[in-house]
Amino acid sequence: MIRRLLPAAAFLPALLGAQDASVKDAFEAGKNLWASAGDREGATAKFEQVAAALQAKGPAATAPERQMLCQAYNWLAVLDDRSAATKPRVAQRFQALLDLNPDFDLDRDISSARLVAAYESQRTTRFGLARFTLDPLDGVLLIDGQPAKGAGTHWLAQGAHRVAYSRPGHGSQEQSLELGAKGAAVTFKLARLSTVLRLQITPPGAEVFLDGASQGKATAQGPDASSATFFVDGVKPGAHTLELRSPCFRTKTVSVPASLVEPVGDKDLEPFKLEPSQGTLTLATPVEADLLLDGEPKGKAPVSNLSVCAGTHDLELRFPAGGYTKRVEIQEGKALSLTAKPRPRLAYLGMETGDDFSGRIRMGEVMQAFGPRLTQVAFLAPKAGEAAQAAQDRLKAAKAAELFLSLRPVGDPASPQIEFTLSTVEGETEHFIARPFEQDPLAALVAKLNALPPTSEPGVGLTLVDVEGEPGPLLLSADPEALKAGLQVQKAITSMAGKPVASVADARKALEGATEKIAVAQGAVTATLPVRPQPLELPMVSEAYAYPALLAQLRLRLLGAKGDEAGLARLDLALGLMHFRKYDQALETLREAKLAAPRGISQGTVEYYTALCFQRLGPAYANEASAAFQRALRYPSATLLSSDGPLVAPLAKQALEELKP
Amino acid sequence: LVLGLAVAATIPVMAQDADFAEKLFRSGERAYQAKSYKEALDTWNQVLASAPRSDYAPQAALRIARHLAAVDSNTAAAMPYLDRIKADYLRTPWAAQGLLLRGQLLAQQARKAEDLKDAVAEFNRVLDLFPDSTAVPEARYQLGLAALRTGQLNKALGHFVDTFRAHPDSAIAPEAMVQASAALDASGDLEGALRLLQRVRNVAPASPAADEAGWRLTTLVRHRLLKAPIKVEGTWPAGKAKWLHTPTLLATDASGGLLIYQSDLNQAFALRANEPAPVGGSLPSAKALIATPSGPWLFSKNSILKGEGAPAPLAGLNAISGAFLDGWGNLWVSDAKTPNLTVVAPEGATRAVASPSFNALAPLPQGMVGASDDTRTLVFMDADGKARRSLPYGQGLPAPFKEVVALASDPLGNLAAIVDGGDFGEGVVVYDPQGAVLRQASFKALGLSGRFTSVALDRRGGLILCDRRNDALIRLY
Repeated sequence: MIRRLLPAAAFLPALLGAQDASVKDAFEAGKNLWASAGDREGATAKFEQVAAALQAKGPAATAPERQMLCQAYNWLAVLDDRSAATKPRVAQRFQALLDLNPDFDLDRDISSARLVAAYESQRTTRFGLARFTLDPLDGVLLIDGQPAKGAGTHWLAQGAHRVAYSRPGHGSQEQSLELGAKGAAVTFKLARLSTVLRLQITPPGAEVFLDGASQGKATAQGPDASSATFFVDGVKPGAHTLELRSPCFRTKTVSVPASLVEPVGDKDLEPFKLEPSQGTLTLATPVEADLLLDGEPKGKAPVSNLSVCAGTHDLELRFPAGGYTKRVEIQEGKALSLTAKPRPRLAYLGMETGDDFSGRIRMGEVMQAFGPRLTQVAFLAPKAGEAAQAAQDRLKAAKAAELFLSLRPVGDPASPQIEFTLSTVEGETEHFIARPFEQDPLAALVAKLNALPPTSEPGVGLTLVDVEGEPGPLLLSADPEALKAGLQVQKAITSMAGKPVASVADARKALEGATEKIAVAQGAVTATLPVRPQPLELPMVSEAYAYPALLAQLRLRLLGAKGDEAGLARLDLALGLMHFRKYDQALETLREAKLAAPRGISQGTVEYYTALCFQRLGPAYANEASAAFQRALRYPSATLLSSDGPLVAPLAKQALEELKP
Repeated sequence: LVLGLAVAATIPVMAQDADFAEKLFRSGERAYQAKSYKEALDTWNQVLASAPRSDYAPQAALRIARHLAAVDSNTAAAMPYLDRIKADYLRTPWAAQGLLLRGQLLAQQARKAEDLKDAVAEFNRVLDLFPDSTAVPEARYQLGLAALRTGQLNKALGHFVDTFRAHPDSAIAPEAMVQASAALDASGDLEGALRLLQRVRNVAPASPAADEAGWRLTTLVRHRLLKAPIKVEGTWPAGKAKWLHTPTLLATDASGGLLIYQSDLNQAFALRANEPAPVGGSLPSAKALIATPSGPWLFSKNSILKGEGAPAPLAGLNAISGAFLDGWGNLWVSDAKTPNLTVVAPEGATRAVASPSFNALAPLPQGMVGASDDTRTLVFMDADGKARRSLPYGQGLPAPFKEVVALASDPLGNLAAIVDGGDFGEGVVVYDPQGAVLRQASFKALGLSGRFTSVALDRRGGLILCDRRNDALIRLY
């Protein structure tokens, strides 16, 4: 008997190849214990171990695992049958086996004829044999709604069943089956109704459209690179168009001629291979950030040449402070490069609770559409039911927002105005007034929040002035580079970038359109000059901006900034703090501001504002103010506001005169 | 209990008062909008009388003062209202505008540097007490103007720069830039002045200040920077020949408009749409013509005619050769036969300032210049008439001249002289405010023949000559 079992033991490892290693080892061990040592108890224990492990998987068990479980029950029945003490358990083993798969036949190499007869007897008490005859053969058979193997025999529980059979290009049929111990025969013969197009697509997952209507997705089949055969059913006579669409792949359009559709039948098309459709995304960020595309994590930014499917994507960057979102269009084969800087997160805390006021509903409605209108801040909507103060405390603690916005009614409750309060985490606050029933109560606030002052303007090292009677703007002064290139001061510039310029305004327009270099002509002399950004100061007071938002922007601008970029950000931040009369903090910021540029907005500018801050702190800091003005004098070409703004030196000189005791 | 009842009774009464004051104030506003000024002022006075503790009282006082100052030009009547705001309502938000207006009126009334102190104090009060007020930009600007008037150029520059640096959106910011450029120019920083003027055109191209900056730029560049050789454009306006009646004197008004005195008509004319329109009264044989805010003033050899009516004699003068009004309202008169300058104060007092006898006189931003044929020098004086520099006729020229026929200046301090005699001969010279020759040409070299008796600097960097022989004007550029 032991020898009879050996061939089956040799077969099993292949079956168990996909199984969990420990289960497989236990199964092998059970067989060896019985075959080589005749250790029935030991073998039984091993198969019990296998059965317990696989039973625990329940419906999640794979087909090979279910097959192995059946084998284990078969072995257990065989082993139990060899001892009088355990023989009563055989019926339980069979019961478990039949519950699992009534189509399972005992292995006659290991099971005795008596045991097989007992099993068959037990099977026929609960199950009947249904014989299916199918035409055509390759349709889909459903028994009680569950897919079943095709033609042939099926052990089914005795009683009533619903069986159905269908096949693409054919109709479908359904029958009732009353199955008893003697079994029954079922015959399906389907009539051909229409043409079926059969195709395989590489890679799988493509959606198939027939004349613009989706027919479903071509699913994968195992490890193969191509899909399972996809059936396009019900193709009517005439010409058609097939479209195969898959994200990240170029859409393939196939013309199906009428001659292929008729006469009706199954028509195999050539396998289709979709060509990849991707572009690359390069993101520069001042500091490391988590990158998400369409909500899916894609690693870290900065990143270079990240392959991205062609199409529109929602790009999101999560910085240590601040956020960034943008809808980007990736074009096939093209590279998209972006510089993304963190933007402040503005948390709308909702309306302050209190009595109802006229316009509350209206304000609630308009605030619903507030977030999408903001372009320079990332909007955070309020949590339902959370009080404003609680929300602010939560967000502050989590460092999840840089700005807070709340609103409350002020004035006559019957016809109130709405006061918006915008504040930074650090406490700089501004109030804005709106009327609930004006056309767009948020227009002014949105405009302020979306407005960013320019930080630089393009320059070519030329100072131009408008002089009546001259053919173009007169060159007042020029950097050595421009003079070396042949331009002469006190002569008019006649064209820039190949276009005539009649005024400084024209020249500024030409510069705005320039990228790296621009051709500047004085009559017959043309010089090609590099275009460089010239820093601009932050306006200290302007109705155009919401200063808390500007401060939040500037604080984020400092993240990762180096050299003059950091120096300019600090200068602007200090000016923003001076707007709020936070001269002490402005001084701390200016102390760190270092600018290497020798002219224009430069270190002299920083020193001048340092002195102003000391002055604002009062007479006790007169010496410090004087020292800072003295330092400012060391930069004779330093200016305020912009490179063409007033020189710092005469202002510092005058201030020093006034500071003299 | 009695006290409680009293308080309870007082509160509704106070509320009623406030309500009444508001209604009264609004009623005044409606009347003012309907241009019923008397009714409006009466109504606002009622607010002051009946509800002096209400918020509407300082507003009413301010509205009345503004009207009296701006519409009625009655500073004396406006001042008590502003005094009251300062005394009784200094803690209200409207006090900022009240102090500002008070300072502006005091500055207008100032006749010398010391008089500006009170005005400056008011402007500084605005900055100190109301740093967030909308009055602050104008107060800073006024501080700059005060410093400029007293020759404190760097201080003026500081105030003007503060105005447009700290308040770039304010309506006064472009004008502050223009004035800052004037301070820079007067300090000798021509390039800085030009850059700032261009900045006005860049950042506020639609403002009146941009137009001002435009002509200043052109004039400064043409005369001071390019110093281009003088050329003749032709008769001016173009094509206008033999169209005047013995023009002998020219002057330019504050907006750059040309005034022409026609000797045959004994009358000054303003050039409007290229046609002469009579202005002021009639005066035969005028020797000087100046433009003032109240219209042209004509001078005979010994008298002055302001507007219409009869001329008034100027005691002690018998050969008036030039005149101008300074920034304090003083009239400065030169006499070719009297070795001093006569200064007539706004209230009429006359004093003499020692000087050579001048054949011509012209104002400069920080003083004045006189031409003395006796000493053959151009004398550059400060705002008090003290000589700071004497320039021999012909210095800086290829050859000397002997006489100055006429002098003219513009608000930027460019100085033009018609000269004659000597090896240089008859011609024209343009000087900078310090007396350096910028441009020059003899009429012979220019191919001009005529009798040129007066000159004016236009706002396009050119010169207008008055040719009495040919009854025409000639433009040089």
